[in-house]
Amino acid sequence: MVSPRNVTALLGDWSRGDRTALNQLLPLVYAELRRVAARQLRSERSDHTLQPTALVHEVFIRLVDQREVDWQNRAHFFGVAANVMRRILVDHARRHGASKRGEGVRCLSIDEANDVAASNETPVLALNHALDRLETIDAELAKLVELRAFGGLTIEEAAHVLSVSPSTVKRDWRTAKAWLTRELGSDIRP
Amino acid sequence: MTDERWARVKALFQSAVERAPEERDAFLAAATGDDAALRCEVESLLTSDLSDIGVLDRLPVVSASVLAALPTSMDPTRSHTSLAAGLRVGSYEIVAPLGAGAMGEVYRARDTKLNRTVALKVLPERFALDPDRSARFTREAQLLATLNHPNIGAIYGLEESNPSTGSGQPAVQALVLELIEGPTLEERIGSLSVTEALTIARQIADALDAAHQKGIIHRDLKPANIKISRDGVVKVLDFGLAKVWDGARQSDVSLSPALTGIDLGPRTVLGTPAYMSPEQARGQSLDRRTDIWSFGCVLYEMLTARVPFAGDTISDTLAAILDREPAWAALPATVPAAARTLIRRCLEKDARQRIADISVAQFVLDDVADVASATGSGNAAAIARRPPMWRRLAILSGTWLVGVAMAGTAVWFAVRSTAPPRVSRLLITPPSAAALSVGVTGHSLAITPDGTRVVYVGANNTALFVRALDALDATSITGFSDSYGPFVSPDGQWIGFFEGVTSLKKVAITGGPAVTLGRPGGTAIGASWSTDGTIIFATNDRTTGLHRIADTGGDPTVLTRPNRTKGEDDHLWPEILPGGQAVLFTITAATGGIDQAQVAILDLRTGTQTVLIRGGSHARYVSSGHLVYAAAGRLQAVAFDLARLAVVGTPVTIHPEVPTNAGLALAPDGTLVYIPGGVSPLARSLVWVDRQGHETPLPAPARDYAFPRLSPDGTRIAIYIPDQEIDIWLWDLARAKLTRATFDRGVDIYPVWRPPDGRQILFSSVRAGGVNLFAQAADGSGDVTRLTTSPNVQHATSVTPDGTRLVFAEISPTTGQDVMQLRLDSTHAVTPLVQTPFNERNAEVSPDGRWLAYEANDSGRFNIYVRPFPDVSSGYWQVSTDGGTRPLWERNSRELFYLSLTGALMRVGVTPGRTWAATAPTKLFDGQYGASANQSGRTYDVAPDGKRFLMIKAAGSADQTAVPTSLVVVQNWREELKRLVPTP
Repeated sequence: MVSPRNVTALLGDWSRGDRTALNQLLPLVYAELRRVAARQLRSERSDHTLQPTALVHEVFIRLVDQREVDWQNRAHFFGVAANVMRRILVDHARRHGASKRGEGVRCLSIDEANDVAASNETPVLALNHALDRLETIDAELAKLVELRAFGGLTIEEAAHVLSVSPSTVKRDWRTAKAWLTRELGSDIRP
Repeated sequence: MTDERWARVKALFQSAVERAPEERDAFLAAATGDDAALRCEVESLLTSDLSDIGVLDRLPVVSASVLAALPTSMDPTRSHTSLAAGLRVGSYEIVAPLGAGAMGEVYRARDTKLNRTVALKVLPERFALDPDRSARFTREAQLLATLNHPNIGAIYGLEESNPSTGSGQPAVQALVLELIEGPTLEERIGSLSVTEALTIARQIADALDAAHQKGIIHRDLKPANIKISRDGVVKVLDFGLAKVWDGARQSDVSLSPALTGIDLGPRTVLGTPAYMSPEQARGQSLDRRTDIWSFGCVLYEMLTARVPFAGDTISDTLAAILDREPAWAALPATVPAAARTLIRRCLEKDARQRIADISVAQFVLDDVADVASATGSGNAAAIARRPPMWRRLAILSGTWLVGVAMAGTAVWFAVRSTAPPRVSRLLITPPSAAALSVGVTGHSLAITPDGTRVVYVGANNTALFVRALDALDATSITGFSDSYGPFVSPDGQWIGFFEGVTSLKKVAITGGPAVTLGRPGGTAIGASWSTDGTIIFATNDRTTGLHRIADTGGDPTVLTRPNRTKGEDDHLWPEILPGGQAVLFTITAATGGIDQAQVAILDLRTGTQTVLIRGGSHARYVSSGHLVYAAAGRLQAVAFDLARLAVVGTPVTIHPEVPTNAGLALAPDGTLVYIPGGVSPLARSLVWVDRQGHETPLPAPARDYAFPRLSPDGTRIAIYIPDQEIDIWLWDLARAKLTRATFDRGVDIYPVWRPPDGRQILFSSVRAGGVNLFAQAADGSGDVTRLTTSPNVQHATSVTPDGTRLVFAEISPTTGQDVMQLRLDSTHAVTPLVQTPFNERNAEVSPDGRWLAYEANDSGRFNIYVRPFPDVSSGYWQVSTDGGTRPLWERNSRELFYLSLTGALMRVGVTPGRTWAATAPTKLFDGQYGASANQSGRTYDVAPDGKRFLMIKAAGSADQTAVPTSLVVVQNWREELKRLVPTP
């Protein structure tokens, strides 16, 4: 049985360098995300959608003992959760895309591609792919984007996770946005 | 983009964006200079910054129903991006995802065994779970893993494992790939010069050539599959994976890889089959000419920044491939005619009309590069990367000559073939985790017969490393406990080696499980593998000589036994000669050491043994018609008639020293690899130690140093090294170079510089009889002068500051060790200075010429004493209070140093004056510095400024400096040999 205390302890272990703690932590975060979603479905609200960042925060509140966790572990948690969130979104986008196009044929026609481009959302797969490319030239920037975009971390929180100053995070965030805008611009502009 | 390049772009962007928009242009112009590409890159980011369209603010919302419908637990094999940082797959630890590819997710991962970073391509779960697919895939992957070429992204292996322990999750199947940091060619297209494009094309051609020779077709060559590593080396990725993928999917063959195995990213979703050959587009069977077509497409695109066959839709593109010609006019005017012809010949729609072999492209591109370099615009890297002449000639055939002639390069062939291959040297320095393990008796390294791969033992004898000479890294074969003595099969596909005294094994050079062939019955000392499938080896068991075993395994049989009546001790270091009918080996002698060894030959047809060389060992045959062997500590060569199995001509010294434990290997093609520097287990290092005991190592190799002596001007160190021959060497401090100063076969020991100019070195030597005193010019010029002829042993210790007298210790049968002096004039007159029944030695005259310090044991143990000089009988003071040896004056004569009996460096302050006045001894630092062997000479020196001491540090087991860290490879060394030792 997982208690908030367990998660807090795992975060502590992980921040002290115990990598196996992360392996135990990821499924917990994942499971909690699902539980939050299920609860949402049972609620009376008509809008059954969640902002990814809000979702991550809700999971945090539910999983981690607020009195026990320190600032650093909080940051670590969001680092993990952002990564889980990203993978959920990417996985979903892939499944969704695959079912729409049917199995086996993975090629989009130009028309279909235009459909994607015309939608108002940033395509998750495009962003994911661009982040993968960014990872190869600047892993820190890619991590920052993951934390901010998928984990909803503030500048200060991201600074703590990445062990750099908030002013560096601000500069890097602007750089990353410019880079991603350039890389994705042609894909998502109508 | 390289990391450095991105770092500049990032820094400039961040500086520029802080400025007002109107100031940015001027700032960028000043900061980027004439690097237009850099400026362009930064400007594009600034533009994006201004037009922020909120890419990161418009992420899709998550539907709760989607979330709730997710699998109940995270299953790494179910999701595409499922392996988190820190998870382990076998010995690989996931670092970060790299992206999604046709075969599944790719991760950056850490190889925890070899401590290197790799790419891990994790296969989809449905793939891993199907045993047929899985098995087929494994077979294909093993074939692909044999591709070993600097321009091909390597497949290290296949990892099948459970990603996290005890989780009960299904196994993960992952390809372990070389991780190449850098942009893909796709990203570089548009920014390439013609020269760059041709240089890249040449490397792609090399990659295809290597694969085609193994019968492997890429089938999906395109710019996105080609990476340019940080150091500019082109790497072709995913060789043959398209086929593996296709076959494993058992999909409709008409759906070619370019259509089905598509990256899931947005760019390649829109990817067209632009690089497909016509036969591929038709779904016909494929051969290597499909790669040549794609190669032509890539070359065309590099030069024009457009694909040769384009269409708005897939069917339009296919139509273009099948029916239309590329826009030839789009090729820039600066593209050489030969390259244009090459592209046309690659893009022949009828495969039968197309260039049939990629080597034609290699020739043409070489030719183009030569023309470019002749006109001053060449790319040096492109030319330097060219494979050796012999390799290129070897693959030339008549058919291809036609193609070559078409491209106008026949002239190249005619002109170039007259020049001999260039001798080139390169250094291999394994990373510390894979540090070289040098055996004391057996050979520690081997080379494949084609001279392309070096095999060495490393990581404390737990691994064999295979280093392709044209690759940047070695690959490893691990999991051994005590592997040593590697040798290579004649076809270069197997490594034979020994493990302890119990096993002779073989392992594929590409890795895999090792096969035990038999029991060597002792520590192996040399082995050789014949083309007829036998292995001949020797061991340290002195009752047997050479042994023979089949390379398929079995019980070894004894081939020879040492003949005690002839004074033979053992038969070692066998080497089978070409043809397999005779084996070279060394007969060691029961007395007289290695100098009395003989190189012999055993005729395997008749069983007769013949001695070829007396006073030689470790013989190897070189295809230039030479034997290379060790003799008197030198490397010698002599011409050898392979047909008559006889030495012809006179031996020539080709190198003044023999590599460590004769650690050298020679390939028949004339490639030499050896471990430089003579290193014995006694190796020590030189260090400066200041008065507080802080050490600074000198960059001198670890050797068995003793008796260092700084020259009067402090620029050189004369030093005794008894590890190869027993000689005196010079270390040049400014040039950081160790050279041998004396070359006699006897013992040269106890060097001292002759002040004031230091142009002469005086030393003791065992030449023609007893240990007497000799002199020679420090620069090695002129003759060695004998100074004394005495039956008594004489040890040089110091020279008076005016350079007129040599002070030495002489061991007399009646008075023991005495301090003597020798006039350094034509008389060479010797007179005693301190002569008592006790032992007096290590006498040093003070730099001001007033005092003589020495050690004597008249109190029962050695203490330091001082006498006036030259009138040594006018006084007598004991300096050390608790024992002392090896006194040394500071150069201003104000201090006297010596070693305590525990080896600590002691100091005594000296008050100038006519009578001796000195302080009590104090300790400067403790004695962890080697007082060499049992010899009594001074083992340290003081720098001219008196601030630091030159000490010899014993190399402990943890001291890495004592271990040779590099291999030297000499390619085409045969040419050097031919020049040095002409064959009749």
